[in-house]
Amino acid sequence: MVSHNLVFKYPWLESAKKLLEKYPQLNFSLDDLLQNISPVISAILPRIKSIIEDGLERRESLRDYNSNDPNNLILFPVLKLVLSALKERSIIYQVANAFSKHMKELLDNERMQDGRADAEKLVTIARDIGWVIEPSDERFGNEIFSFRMGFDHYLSLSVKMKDPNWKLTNQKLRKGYVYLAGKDLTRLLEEYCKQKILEAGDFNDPGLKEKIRTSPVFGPFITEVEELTKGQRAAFPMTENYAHITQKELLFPPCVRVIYQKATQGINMVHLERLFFAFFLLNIGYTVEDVLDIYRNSPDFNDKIARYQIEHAAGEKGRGTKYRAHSCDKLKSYQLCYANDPTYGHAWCANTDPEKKKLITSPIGFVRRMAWFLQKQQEEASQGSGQSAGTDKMNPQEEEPTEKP
Amino acid sequence: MGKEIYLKKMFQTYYKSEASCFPTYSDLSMREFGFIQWDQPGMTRHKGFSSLPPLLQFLEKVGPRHTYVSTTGYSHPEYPDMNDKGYQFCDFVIDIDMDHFHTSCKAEHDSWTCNACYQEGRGEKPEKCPQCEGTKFQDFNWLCDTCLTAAKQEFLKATSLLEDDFGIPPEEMQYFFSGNRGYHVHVENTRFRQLDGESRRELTDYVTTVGLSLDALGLRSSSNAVVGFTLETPGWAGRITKFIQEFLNIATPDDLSMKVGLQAGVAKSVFDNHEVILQRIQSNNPIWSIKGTSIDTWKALCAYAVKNIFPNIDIPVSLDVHRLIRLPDSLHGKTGFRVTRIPFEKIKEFDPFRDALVFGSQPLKVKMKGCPRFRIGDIIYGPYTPGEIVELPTNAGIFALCQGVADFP
Repeated sequence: MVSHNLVFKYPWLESAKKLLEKYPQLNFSLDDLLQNISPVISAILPRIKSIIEDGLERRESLRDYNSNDPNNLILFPVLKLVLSALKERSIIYQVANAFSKHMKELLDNERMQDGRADAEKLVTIARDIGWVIEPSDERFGNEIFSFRMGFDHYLSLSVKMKDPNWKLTNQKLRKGYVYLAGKDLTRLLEEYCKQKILEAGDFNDPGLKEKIRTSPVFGPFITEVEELTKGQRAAFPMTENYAHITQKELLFPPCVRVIYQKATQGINMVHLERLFFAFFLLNIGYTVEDVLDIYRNSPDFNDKIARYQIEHAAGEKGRGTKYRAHSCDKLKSYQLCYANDPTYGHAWCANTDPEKKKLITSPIGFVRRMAWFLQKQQEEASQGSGQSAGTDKMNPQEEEPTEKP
Repeated sequence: MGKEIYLKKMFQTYYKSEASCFPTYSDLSMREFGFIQWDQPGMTRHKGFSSLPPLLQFLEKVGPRHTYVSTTGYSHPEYPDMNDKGYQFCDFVIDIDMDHFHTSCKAEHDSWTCNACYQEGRGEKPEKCPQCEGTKFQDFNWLCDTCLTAAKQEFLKATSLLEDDFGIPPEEMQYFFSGNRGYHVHVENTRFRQLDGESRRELTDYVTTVGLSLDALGLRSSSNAVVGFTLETPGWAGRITKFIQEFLNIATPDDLSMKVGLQAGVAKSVFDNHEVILQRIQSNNPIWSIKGTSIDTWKALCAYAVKNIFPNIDIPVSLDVHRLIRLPDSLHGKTGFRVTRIPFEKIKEFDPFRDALVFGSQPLKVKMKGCPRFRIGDIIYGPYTPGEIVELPTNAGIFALCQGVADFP
């Protein structure tokens, strides 16, 4: 059974809902919450603002979070309520990132007197959110695994973390349990907390959203929060190489569009995505500063590290080698290929184009073909050929430039 | 009597006499059914049945050529629009189909004809016709003991993985011979049923080793030593180690060079030191380094192991949440064999050419169009040349008629 103090500290636990019933002063109906300013809400709004600022400033630790405060029971749902009513979705990602990282820090500090991780407490926390988990003292090779967790609960979070180290294929899986080291468990709990906050972005009730935005309690507060975010997003630069293209997103193959979407929405990119995106942009004519501007939207942006990595990728640091963008094969291995994705996929990449002659083998090849294709469209439109600019009117493979190796 | 009419009658007779013994199918009223009939083109699908008796009555009446059931449970399986059906759950199904992997016997009994230039060839159809580069073919696929034994090996790999790694008790898995060229495993386990599309892909990736990273599994160089895995390590790491152990026990320097791709000097080092390595593996010592090898040596050995131990499954079947698969106990229209349930303890001894037969041995006179040899029960028939008129036991005759290699004289 999870203690009250633990629930105050981690108000995203399932027990928080039950515990709220025991604190009538915190247990509001939605109407009450939206219409009547209570002392409790007045007290927590500045803290919520501070949390949102921490998110926008890409902090990994919250400045104003009191782990022992019972008011956290209402702070967490109110934070989600406010986030759900914001117009700019990227703020939700940034706040989720900062909040969940702070939680990981707290979880990592759940230690016993002798300094070892408090496995029992971590198991209690994980079981509270319904995970099948047990302490373990298994050692495989030189590694110690302190926990084992049901593969289905593991999967529900690991699929969000596109990194080979989290892929089920690479886990120690036996009899339905994934074996985990302590730091892996706290990372999964961090991800769970992050997903709980991101639920605010899935909230899809325009009527209620409007009700929150016009509520006397939250309306002015939301305006204040949205003021904080003005000027946050960097414009996407165009390059000289493809300056004739005005529909910039059309140049990008599916794999890049997915990452571009993340970058502009302020969603964290995994390491492999970040590297590939930088290599790709630098190879189609973006400068280091252009790339940095895009990366600035990322919640965990660190100017020094990012600049070093991008300058290195551009060949301005290290041995002076400019890295090429990955090939399609490599992207497939990294699970970063979206050729067949229903939203982002493209017939050229998926090899389903009825006119196809040559398969796209690299993202840069896609850009070249698309640039050529769009230019042809522009030329035809300006010549007044009477043809529509639609893709069905010409064969993009007909006299395309050859894809360089 | 026409071939189709005869086969339909025989299938109806099977369902009339045997259907009363069919066990019910789990959550039958939530499943969608599909049928291909003898005398109608295309598939009739979006059929639902409230219970087993009306389904059996339908089978008896229609005697379908092929009968399918959804792996998914719906609130309204009979609704024609997939979006209206009301998805409830989807069982995890593994399909082993020998169409998806290479067997040496295909070179002997399969053949193809190019649709464009009529060039013919033996074995699996090529990607492009060597004569005209055409990509469309008429292909002739046969099945033999070698094929189905290879399919069973893949099936056993998959089932042991489901049991050992995912902990699915045998009673929650049902094993089937597909009635033609493979095997199915149905997992009816709550934890699997509720998985969303992304998790299902991860699960399928696990089974097929997609995204396997030796680095992420823990193979690394540390202080000039190569740190590998142990036999006790759960998952693919332990399975790779076990394969390497078995392989090094029997591998020659030539095997290490030719099969694994090691340079001759490195292969010799591994061969000369294989007892040391085996001793370390046996004692769960993860230090793999030996003189004359590097981490690349071990990466090559691991890659060779993976290639040999992952089960070749038909991936889309496991991923698709709207899949129709063959109904257990129904008949396969390309063989006349039963889609046969195999008790767990009988998997190894199961013989599809004996245990999936449902028709008797009454003589049946047929005119052959030519085919390779085949076995039904304990008897080998053929090969037959075109025009040959032969009297076969009903089981063998129906097999030949269903395969399209015979007709009535």
